Amino acid sequence: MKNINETIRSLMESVAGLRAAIVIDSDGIPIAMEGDIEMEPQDLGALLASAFQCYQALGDSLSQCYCKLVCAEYDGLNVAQQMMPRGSLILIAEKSLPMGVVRLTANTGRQILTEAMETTAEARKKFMEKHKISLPKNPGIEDPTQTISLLSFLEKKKKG
Amino acid sequence: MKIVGDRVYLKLIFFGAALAGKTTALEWIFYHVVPDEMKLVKELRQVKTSFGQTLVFDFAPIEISPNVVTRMFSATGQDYYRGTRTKVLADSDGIFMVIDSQKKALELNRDILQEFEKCRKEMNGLSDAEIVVLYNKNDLEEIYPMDYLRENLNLQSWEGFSTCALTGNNLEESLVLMLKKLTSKLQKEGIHLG
Repeated sequence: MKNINETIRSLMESVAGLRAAIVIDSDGIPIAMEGDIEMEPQDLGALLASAFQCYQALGDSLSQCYCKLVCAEYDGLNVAQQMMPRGSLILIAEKSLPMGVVRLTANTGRQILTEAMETTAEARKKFMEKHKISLPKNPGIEDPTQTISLLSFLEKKKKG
Repeated sequence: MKIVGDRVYLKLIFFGAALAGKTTALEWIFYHVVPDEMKLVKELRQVKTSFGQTLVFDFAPIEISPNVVTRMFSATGQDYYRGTRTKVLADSDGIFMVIDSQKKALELNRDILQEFEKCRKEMNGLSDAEIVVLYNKNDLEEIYPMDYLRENLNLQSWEGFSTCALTGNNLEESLVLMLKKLTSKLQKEGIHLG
């Protein structure tokens, strides 16, 4: 089965006009991202998650329990945010790609990704149970003295 | 606390009544305390109303250690938008409770604390969040002292500082205390910071 990155990459390849595809978790933490966007993934994730939460809150007030999809049409882009278990899939498309196609692609992606997300959740759960969420070594940092936390930085600063 | 890939994500919230100084405190910490190399964005992301108040949140992700990202939010204090305020609180690991020390704000503080207590009872995991109280606006004249507010608002169980978000007074100390609490929490889970 394809993983999350492979899935959104193949979505991008199969539909001409898609500029980017992003998967975020329910809090907006970016899980996977493909394509061309000039935004920090963290920033993008936080905005998208809060926008979706606003629509969910509106739905709650209208006695609707589940917001499935939010679409936004801009001057030069079409955006669809598709709800999934524990997160959402966002597709950003050129204006020339009809919104109907963007929605359909998002829905198709959701079905594939739902399975992938469940697999990820299970793997993560096992990983956490096994390692008590100890983290792997950061491969980019060979010298441990070069790593410093914000707390260490502030305490050293205070000592002068 | 969430794990995505090889990163641990923590969520830190500035919570409090309208105009208590949540955004100002977050801005001060982001622009004056956190070194640039630990910021994951150059500028705070702010979603504001047309009249300049926080609509949904202010947001700043920082990497407090390799592999540990703290996502700092300030929730809106405006009651008109309380529907989104409680959403921002979900899954928080740490909360800066920002108290407006001005005498005229006493009841507003009480109201927001009641709302917060309700959320703590109803929202999963929120009762485990670390809390540091910022008794803010200590530069003004018509204020209650920290000790009075602590007792009157029943905040004795949480550590806190008398702060001024405009000048940054005691904000760094507050952040250090919060980071110590979060670090201790992470260490219990087997994660050690540099």
